[in-house]
Amino acid sequence: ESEQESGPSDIEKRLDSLITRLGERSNASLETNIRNLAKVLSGDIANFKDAILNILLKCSTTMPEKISIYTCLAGVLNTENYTFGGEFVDGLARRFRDLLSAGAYRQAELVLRVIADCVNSNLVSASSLLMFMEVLLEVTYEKNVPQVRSDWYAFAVLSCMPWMGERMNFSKPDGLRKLLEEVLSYITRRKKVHVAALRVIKSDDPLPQEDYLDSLWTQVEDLKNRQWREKHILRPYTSLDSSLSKGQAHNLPQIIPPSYEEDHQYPLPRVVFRLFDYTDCPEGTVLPPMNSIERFLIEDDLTRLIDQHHEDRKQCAVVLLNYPTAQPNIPIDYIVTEVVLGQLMQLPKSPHKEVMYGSMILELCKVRQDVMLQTLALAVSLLYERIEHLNISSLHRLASWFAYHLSNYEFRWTWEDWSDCLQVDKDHPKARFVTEIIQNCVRLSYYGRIAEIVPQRFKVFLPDEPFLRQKFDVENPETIEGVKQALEVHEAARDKKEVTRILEIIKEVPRPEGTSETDFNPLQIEVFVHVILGMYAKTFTHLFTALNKYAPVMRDLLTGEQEQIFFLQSLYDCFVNREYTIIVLIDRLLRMQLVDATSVVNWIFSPEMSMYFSDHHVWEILQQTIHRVSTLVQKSQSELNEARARSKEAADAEVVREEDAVEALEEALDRSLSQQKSMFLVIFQRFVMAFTDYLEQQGVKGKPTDSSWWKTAIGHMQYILMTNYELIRPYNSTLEKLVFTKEIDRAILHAYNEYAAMLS
Amino acid sequence: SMKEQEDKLRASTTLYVGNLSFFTTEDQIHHLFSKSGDVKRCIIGLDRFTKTPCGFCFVEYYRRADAEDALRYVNGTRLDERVIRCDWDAGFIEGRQYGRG
Repeated sequence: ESEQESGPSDIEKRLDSLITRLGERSNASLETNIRNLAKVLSGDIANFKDAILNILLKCSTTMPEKISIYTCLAGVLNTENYTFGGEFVDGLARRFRDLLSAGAYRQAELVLRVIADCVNSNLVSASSLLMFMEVLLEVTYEKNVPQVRSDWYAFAVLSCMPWMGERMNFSKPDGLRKLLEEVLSYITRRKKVHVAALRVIKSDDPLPQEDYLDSLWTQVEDLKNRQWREKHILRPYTSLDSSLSKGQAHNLPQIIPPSYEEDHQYPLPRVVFRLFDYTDCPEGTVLPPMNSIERFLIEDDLTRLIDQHHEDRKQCAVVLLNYPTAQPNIPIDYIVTEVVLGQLMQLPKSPHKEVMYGSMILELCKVRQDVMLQTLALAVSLLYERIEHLNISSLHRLASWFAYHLSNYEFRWTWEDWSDCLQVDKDHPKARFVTEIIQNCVRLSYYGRIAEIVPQRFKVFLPDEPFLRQKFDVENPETIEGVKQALEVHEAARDKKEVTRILEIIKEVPRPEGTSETDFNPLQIEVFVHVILGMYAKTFTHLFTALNKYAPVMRDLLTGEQEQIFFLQSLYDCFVNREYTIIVLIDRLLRMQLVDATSVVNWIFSPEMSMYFSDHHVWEILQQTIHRVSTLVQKSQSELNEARARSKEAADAEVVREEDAVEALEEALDRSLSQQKSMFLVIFQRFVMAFTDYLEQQGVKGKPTDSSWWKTAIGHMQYILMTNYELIRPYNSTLEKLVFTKEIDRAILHAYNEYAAMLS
Repeated sequence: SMKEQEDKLRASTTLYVGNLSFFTTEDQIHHLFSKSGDVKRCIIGLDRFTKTPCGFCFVEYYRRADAEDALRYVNGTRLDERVIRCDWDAGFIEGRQYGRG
């Protein structure tokens, strides 16, 4: 009996390998291989039907570039074994339905394409396919559902056209026309407020940056005008047509789309990122035009390959650059670069971690060093030319990636190509971009090294050298109030005196003139920051040690928001030009709950910081603050879940204790949730206040919304909204009631509406 | 035992990072490794006798998944012109920062 158990698994493995490898490079033609494999399989179907069916379903629905190979194989099997063909078709339909119910939309798209392709190998009847698609399109008429839902159904059906278009046009031209009319009617009536906020490049000059559905529609229309002849998909069934036609087609079972689910993550709308035109590509290559369906098919496959292989960057680079195209001379390195950079800069955020793109690009350069370095350099210079139109969030990611890339190539770059940024204002996006790259280079290296590699003329973009500003000049004790105590604190800390003793000395710092008894004493905070943190300023390890050791002092000094804001400003004044240190320090202070998130927000928007309002590092601090607060929420949530599970299983004696624990954790979760909510409210209130003040100051002269300040500032508000959309979404209605109301300026409201429309 | 060591490695959130330049600072390492997630701490390896950096460090993350991503995406790339090598570490214990003297 044990032999029987181990027997099938070996055969199954062999079958799996045979089926999976179909379509790989071989001496025989694809059609011959399909025929031969079909012969082998028809012998095995009697004993291993379920296994074969499952392997075939798996292969056809997970290898997008080989869809037609597997539908053709299934079609040949169907001519021999009608029942088996029927089970394959049913299996596909069931898989499609299950994926929809699970909300796995990206996978469902692929399965739908396999279903559509079945019409070509005579597995599925044209009339039942039409009906199947029509039912799906009914979703586009649903009332009161978010557009992301109807968008998906329209997109899923439309993206099947390259597979089914030609055959349907032949056998059911009227039905096909009606289907397309319905898609078009949906596309014309859908709202497009979100599109502007999703454009990486905000200008259509030189290349249109189109909404993904509009773009696919144009491509399908072009395909229709070419009598549905596309040049990318393999069509093994064409030469097997005579034998396939001997089989009998099945009718697809009807699948009613599951109704709208609030907690389903429908794919967000996108804007197709366009960077290269055919004139940018080398002579002798043919870049499929962006309104051609081939461009869509290649890009969609590349995107799926990245999703599949991103955990192995070397393998990923190899499969991308060796992507098989039916037409020769397609400059695949250009398309890969456009897809990868497009994802890196995608809005609201990149699908994978930014560092994945950075390290995968390094691998792409290793795999095809001959072409990739040049292609990348061209991409970067094209982006530099368009930088004025780049979304702020995308610009930050591009600068950060490019610095990382340079750090892997000894920081070699032809800076002189960018000398036009020396002629513009320092707030101009070109100047800002170069500044950000150089700042990021400094973080990845060290100041002296980057000062060396930046050409003399570009030194204006180099930040000033970091230093520690020591307010209390211990050499001249008479210069300033508090120096006496500062000196004592310094000595006590050096001599490793008790923390309580140090707090005592700090408490002796005299109140500066002009501050009232009820106010806090700012000098005490300054003595702590400049003396104690100054002593530990060398590395993060030292600073973290100081925060742990002196936490009681800080808890005593930083009881209120005003104290905390003043403390943050003192840190900022002390650690001059050490933005990264500030970011990490504030993060640690939030983690240790020594300062509150709302204090950080109010500090960022304080008059003292207004001169840095356009600088990226301020928004990095804010991003990090949001991230920290949200991880506290997640942590409380998972701790609560664990405690609840424990309390359910607790023995009688422990029930009370476990229930108390649950209660305490519920309170902790409530606290962290209300902290998160008030943080977001304060952030957007402060943004609106800053914008309103600006508009009032500028008055009616000129158009204030055309200024660099305005564009950068409003861009940063959208950056915060979009990057954190999953967190902010639950508060949308509160924000609309309290902050983004009808009373505020339309230009501000518009920026919010673009974000809100993305999700609706 | 071997088994315990293996279990520790499987649950570890700490990476050993080797082939660093002696001049590479903690700030640089922190910045680079933060690209894959929140870094809890970096401990620079020191020469047992001179107490100066000697080309390795430990990077500890809060979450295992972020350490895995560092292994996928940061391992084998350059920092200060040197190709850095990362591997799982069973977890930092005081004293281990001192390398061979």
